[in-house]
Amino acid sequence: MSGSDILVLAEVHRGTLADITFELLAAARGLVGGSGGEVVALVLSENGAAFAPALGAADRILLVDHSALANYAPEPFLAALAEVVTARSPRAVLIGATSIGWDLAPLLAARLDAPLALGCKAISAEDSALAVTASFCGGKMVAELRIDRAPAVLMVLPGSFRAAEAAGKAQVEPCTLSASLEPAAIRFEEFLLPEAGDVDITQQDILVAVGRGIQQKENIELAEQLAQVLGGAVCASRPVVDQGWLPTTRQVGKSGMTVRPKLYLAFGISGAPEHQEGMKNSELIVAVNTDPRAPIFDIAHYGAQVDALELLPALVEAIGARKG
Amino acid sequence: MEPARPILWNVPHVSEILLYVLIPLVLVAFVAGTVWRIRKWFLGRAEPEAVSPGRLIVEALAPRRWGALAKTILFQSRLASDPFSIVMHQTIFWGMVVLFVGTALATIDQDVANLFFDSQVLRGAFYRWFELAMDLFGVVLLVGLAMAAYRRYIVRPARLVPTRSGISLLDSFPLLGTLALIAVTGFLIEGLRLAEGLQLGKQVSAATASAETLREHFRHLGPERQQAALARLARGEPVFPAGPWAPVGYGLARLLEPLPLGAVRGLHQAAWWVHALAAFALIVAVPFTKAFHLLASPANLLFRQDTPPGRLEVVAESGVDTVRDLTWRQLLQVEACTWCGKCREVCPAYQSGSPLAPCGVVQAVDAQLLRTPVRNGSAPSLHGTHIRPEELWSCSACGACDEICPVRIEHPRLIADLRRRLVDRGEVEEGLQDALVNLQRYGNSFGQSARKRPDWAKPLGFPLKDARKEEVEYLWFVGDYASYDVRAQEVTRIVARLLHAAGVDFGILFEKEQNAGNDVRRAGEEGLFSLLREKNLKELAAARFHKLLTTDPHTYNTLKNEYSLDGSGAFGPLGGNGHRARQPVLHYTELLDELLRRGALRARRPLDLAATYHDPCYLGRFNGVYEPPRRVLRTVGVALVEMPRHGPHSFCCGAGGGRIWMKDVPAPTERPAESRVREALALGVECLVVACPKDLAMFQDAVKTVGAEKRLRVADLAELVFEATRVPPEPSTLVEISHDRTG
Amino acid sequence: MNIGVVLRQVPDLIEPLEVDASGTALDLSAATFVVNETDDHALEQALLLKESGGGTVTVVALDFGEVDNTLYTAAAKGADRILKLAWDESQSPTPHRAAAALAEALRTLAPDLVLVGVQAHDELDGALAPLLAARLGWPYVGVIRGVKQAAEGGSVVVCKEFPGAVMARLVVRLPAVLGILGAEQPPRYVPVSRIRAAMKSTRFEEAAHAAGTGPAGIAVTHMAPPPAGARAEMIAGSDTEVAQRIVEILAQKGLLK
Repeated sequence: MSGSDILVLAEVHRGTLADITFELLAAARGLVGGSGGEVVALVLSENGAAFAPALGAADRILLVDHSALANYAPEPFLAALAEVVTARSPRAVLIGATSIGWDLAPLLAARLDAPLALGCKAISAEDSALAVTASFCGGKMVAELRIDRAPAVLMVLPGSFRAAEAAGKAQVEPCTLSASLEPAAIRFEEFLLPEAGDVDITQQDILVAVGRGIQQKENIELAEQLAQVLGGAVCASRPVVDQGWLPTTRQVGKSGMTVRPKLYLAFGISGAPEHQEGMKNSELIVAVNTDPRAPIFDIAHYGAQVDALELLPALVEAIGARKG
Repeated sequence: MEPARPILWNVPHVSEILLYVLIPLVLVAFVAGTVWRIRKWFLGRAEPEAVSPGRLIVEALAPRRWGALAKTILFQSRLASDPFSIVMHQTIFWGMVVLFVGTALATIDQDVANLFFDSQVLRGAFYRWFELAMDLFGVVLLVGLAMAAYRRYIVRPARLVPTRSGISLLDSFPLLGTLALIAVTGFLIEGLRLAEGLQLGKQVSAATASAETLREHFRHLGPERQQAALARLARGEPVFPAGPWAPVGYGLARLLEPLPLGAVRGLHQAAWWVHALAAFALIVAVPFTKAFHLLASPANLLFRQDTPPGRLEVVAESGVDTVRDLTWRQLLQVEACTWCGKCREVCPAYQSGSPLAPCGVVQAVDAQLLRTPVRNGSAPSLHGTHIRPEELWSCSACGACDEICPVRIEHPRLIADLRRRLVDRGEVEEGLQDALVNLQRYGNSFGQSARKRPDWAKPLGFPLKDARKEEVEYLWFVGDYASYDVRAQEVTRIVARLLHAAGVDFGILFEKEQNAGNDVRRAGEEGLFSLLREKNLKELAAARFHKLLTTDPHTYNTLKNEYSLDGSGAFGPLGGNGHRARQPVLHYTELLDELLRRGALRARRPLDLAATYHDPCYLGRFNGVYEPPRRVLRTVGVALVEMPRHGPHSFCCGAGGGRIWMKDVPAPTERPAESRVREALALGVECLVVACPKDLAMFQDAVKTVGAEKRLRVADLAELVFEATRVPPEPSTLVEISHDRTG
Repeated sequence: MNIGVVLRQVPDLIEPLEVDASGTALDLSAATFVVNETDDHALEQALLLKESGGGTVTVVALDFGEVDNTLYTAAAKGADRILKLAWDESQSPTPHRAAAALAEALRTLAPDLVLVGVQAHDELDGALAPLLAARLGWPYVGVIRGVKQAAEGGSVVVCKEFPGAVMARLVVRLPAVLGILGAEQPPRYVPVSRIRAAMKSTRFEEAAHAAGTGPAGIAVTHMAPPPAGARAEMIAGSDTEVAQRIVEILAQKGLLK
């Protein structure tokens, strides 16, 4: 372990590793490069050994096993994280911009008086310093930061790095800490789960949205098929819900839900401002509409001027072919 | 011997005394009840107009007011919609009028002429006609009542079911039944009396005189007239010579004649009492039942306010919580409601399944008014379960209720008053809150930068004059929707091109224009409206212009009726004479009409298009601009087909009163704009023409929702003018440049 | 419960943002300012707590970025006291500087609970809410949606938001700093008439505050808006070709599982 290691906080949420962990591992791998440092994954959990096989993208896995880490509360997590970082003095600590990360990254930086960068989208090593590209002001401004003091605490935006695949087998190293990990002022009580009902479109990563261009209720099925192969759900603009073709729980827009999926595929939606309001912050928007002047193309990243009803089955087929 | 009305025939002395004891009691109850109700009107606030009560009464007595009232009452001119309803209202009304006049004549005949002058009014030929008229109109009344009963109890149209209970003390008092009872017992009394007359006549002619009985019957006549009557009978003349002139009564008499004399007389006395008591009950019921509208409705018509319909009167900025926050005129209005339900039939909110019925709000206020004591009344709140926020937020302030109301209740004002209290408490509908926050922050509801307001003009290819810097003939107040809405911008540019082509000298305020506030005010945010008006007036006062031009009818309305508080339509700096120069406000359809008429624009390629025109509420109903847009359309070659709901009865697209900012109320039936599109589709026209940027957005959406994009084009009037006036062959020359500049 | 709420002014993203002459910082002189959205939620949450359990709400803010209107609005909404800390307008209130100033004022105020928006969009090298907690030496938890008084005295129950609409319920012993993501209800509307009334009746209080900076070793070397995202890149071709291309794009972005 040396000062050129990159420490990744593996995030465990309700018994599973969060996706961001693998994105952070990929970012860390890019940083260590040929420096001779290691990608070190830190698992703060109870019985964290179970996660080790999934963390093959790391070189080393540090396990802090403690009953106080069974569920998240800031104090024991921060105490454990700070002690490990102090002991190991890595070059950088990568933490995801998640519910937990928004607590731990700034708190860690404050406790260690370490430099902190929020909103990291790209990170690279430049001899003695780290160059960080950070997005802020709601994505309307991008800053290049230079950090030349270790450890740097970097809070990484989800979706900035392609998730790393488990390459091999990392070395697992259990840690014992001197700090007390018992929660003091903040105590976890329980998780409150959303009530089961229709699909919650606000929680989907992939949405296949249909508009008036879908023409008939029967054609919703085409969109359902695509959603199925993509692992997403179908949602709609107002006219479709008005017709009673889909329940109001699937409506996107001013009078419906506001969604922010990773992928929003819009079929036959012209993109009235009321609809845009509910989906314009999607990470990737692909719009299909026969009208080249449809306002949806103003906010989409990719567009195609073809008939949605023809394209839907073609897409299902193309994805099927690719998956083999 | 001439016939005369019998006086208290077959009425025993004790009944007679009782009758004259009851009459004053009934009158006292009626007057006391009426005074009690009227005092409640004055629980409210004063009206904003500084008019003395004396002046108000003088105005109410003006012949013009009475003329209008008479027209409304005599011809029930505001009620009639379908033939059934016309016949029903007219028969009941005229039946009651004639019978009331007849009863009044009978009172004069009995208690004045006979009592004091030993003479009668109802005698001879006049009495015959009187008998005939009373019978005929008794039948007329019964026919009307039967129709009413048929409708209320068999057809049962929903609009007649009141939406609230507890509106009067005796909600369930059977008014129709009592009226029918009075009419039927009236015929019975007459029939039994004539039947007795027939029997007596035979006895008399058989010379077995029942002189005592006859003397008893004629006891109210003076000695000479009594002798004459008895002598006439002794000669074998009929007891009631005018009997056959009362065909119904006479027919009944023929039927009842076989009964024993004692039974006839007994039944007659019973029917007489039922008749009298029913009539008394009806009179006493007036102040305590919905029949009170018989007094309140005419009073309301007489004390109506004559301000422009487009100006919303605002008394309390913080709105209305209890009936005491309303004005006396508003309280009089709620009392005038006849529960006819016409307002909800034309209400776009009610028709689309929203929880609002305008009469429901009126009736809810009326019910709370009843619960508010006249003395030191601490009034219960109108809000909460009584009038729910969802009801109030459903209103699109289209004014159709106000327009149709037979007794001229101003529902939109009431709703705006109630909304203001919700806003004051911070209880604002979600979508509306977003819009209001944006308007506070940016001066537009779109939440866009003020700097982007003139961006629509960028693709024009010619610069627009800055009305802040140079003098213009027309200052174009473009409005939020026309400036920021992507689809409306297209039309805004077309209007600009048309004005440019016609050589009109115009300019805009660029980023200094702010939302004019028409819908902000109607949504209930009076403070924000005042702020927006202050800011706009400051800009207008600094600019040099001669006329104000608007795109949005909502903007048009508030600029015209609510910006210049003196009603002069003047915005400029004060002149030396202390007055502002008058600067008229025009809608762009009015200006296009003028340009086409004077030849500044020429329809080179008439359109040959069948279209229908949607009257925007705030252009038509509130400001009476119906003809200019139609003239424009005809000039450019449009064959205009009217929708059933047009002119003052146009059906709102559902966007007004701030509704365009609010989320949809889950609607079990179709939205107003969809209903409107279907109405246009039924005409078989190719195009639905609009003259409001909000209409464009609403109807373009609705056309998609009903799946009629291919069958019906939604076009702004300016688009059609543009198509008809541009030079045909060269697509690069966008508009014909007219050289006969007159601007 | 006495609650301190921090309100920050941030550049309004509606207006175009500009970078100053140094090329490494926002040109704040060109910006217009609005209240930070999550701070607005923090105020709402504080008012809801006060309304349900009594106490006071004190707003603390730096005199920066047209803050007066925001403070009058807060007063109109029901804030009891308003502390406005003098601030040199030419200095950008970075999270570290702001935390130093605000922490000092809050320490003097000694409330039971401090509510701050969990983030502000212009934060780059620090987050104000946890920094305040660190300076005060109080516990902190953020990404909170909803705060309630706990049955046991001296603590509150909070809901911390996790993905998938999952909430974690935590009990927080006071005093503490909470990073608010959302109040239990959206911030209330204040009519203009009430704001105007508050302008006449509200007096801002001064408070002592300290200066401070963040850790060394980090610097902005360049700042610029991201490359303009123009209209959609149009994919031409037949249905099959378009489908192929879309699938390629999805695969590239790692969206095909």
